[in-house]
Amino acid sequence: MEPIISLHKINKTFKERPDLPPLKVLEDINLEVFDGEFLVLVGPSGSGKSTLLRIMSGLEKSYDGEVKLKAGISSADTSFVFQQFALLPWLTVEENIELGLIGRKISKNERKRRVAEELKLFGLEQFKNSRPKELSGGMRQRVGIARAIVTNPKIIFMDEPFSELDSFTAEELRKELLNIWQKRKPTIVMVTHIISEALKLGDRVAVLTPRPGKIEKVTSNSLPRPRAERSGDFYKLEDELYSLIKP
Amino acid sequence: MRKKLMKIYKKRWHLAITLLIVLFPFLFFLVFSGLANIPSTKLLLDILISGWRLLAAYLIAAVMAWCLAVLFHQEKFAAVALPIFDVLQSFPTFAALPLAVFFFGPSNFTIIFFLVLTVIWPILFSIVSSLKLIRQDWEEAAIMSRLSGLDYLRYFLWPVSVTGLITGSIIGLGEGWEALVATEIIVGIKTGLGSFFQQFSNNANVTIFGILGFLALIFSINKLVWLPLLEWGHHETEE
Repeated sequence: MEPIISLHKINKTFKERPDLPPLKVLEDINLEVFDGEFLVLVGPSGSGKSTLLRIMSGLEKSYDGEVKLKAGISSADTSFVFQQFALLPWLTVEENIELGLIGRKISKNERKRRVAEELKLFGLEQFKNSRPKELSGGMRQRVGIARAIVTNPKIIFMDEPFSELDSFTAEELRKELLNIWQKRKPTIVMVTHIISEALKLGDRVAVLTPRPGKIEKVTSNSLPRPRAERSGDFYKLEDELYSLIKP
Repeated sequence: MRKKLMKIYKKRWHLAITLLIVLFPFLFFLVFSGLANIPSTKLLLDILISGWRLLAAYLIAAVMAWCLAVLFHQEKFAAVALPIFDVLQSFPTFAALPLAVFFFGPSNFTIIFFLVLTVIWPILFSIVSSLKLIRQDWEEAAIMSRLSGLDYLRYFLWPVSVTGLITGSIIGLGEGWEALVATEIIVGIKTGLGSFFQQFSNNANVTIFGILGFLALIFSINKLVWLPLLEWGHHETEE
């Protein structure tokens, strides 16, 4: 099966300031992501997982190596969910969700129809004219996810999307995300530092080593969904991942 | 329009008081022109002509400053362009004024040209600094939304630069009013506030009251236009 994203020998070194030595953050990363899978990247702080996600999404352009998208897939088929939501404060909820459709030159009527669908799906209809600052963190991230999926992307990149939320809201949003993923089947590549989150969501979990980040292991997770966090198999996988992650 | 005004002013009484403040300098000039035996039409005409010159210069400067800031705010261009702009803004424009009068005569063109050179710099630097303060993830959200061309300007660059434009306009116009009178006097044009102050330069009372009226006019414009706009601009980008 041809992967939807292939990473070949990715190396990344930050040379921000001439008075400081270069900082190597990623070394020889080779990874394949398959169509429709939910891949999670985990690793200790500073292992370069967010940098790797940014390289895959095209937000980080300066690196060595090759990122290849499957034939027929372009960067317009991808979207991104940000850790701190990144909603534009001068736009309403509705306009924020619409933004990706405007960028992709979708007609106004079609934009309205698709945005209305997402507003309904995420329970945001009554907030459509609100500004992001009037919403709670959970609602803001709902808008962030709605903005990412309204374009029907083939690949969604998510950078610690639930880390700014309280645990109850995060749990609720994880369930909503899984529902959407199971219905629409986009490929999702997500970064997290929470092992249980990685195991609840991911089909595969790629573990990165401390800086410079290398792929330590890619673990498959075939536990049936919905996954019970208190089952023996879940604990077993959790222990395995904890033993792989070195601080 | 009414809805927009109420959004800026929030309360009706705020708008009413602001309008009263705006009326004040005109009433002041009317009474003052009567006391100083100056035809009130001449005085109002001088104010309007000077105001028109400054407005024309401001509009040209604002458009140019916004375009230059948008073109040169990115790091790779800013490193070269900003030091050049900095040197240019330090250039003593008044030193070249007699030369311009020699070539172009005491005309509106000469005055507006020199006002543009005065007003443009605070607006330019203010917009550049507001663009440099753009949050990285906002910019990345715009990139991932594939905004480009006019959509990028409309939905992203314009909203993030508008606060800088307003702040720069307040400073630029403050300097502009000052330069306006001086330029009109140096150029020696026979209309406008410069000619008014020069005509009464040997009459301390008229000059002092003229300056007071002038200050009231500037204050009322700030109160009516710029301060509400500034508040609105901050409100727009507030998270």
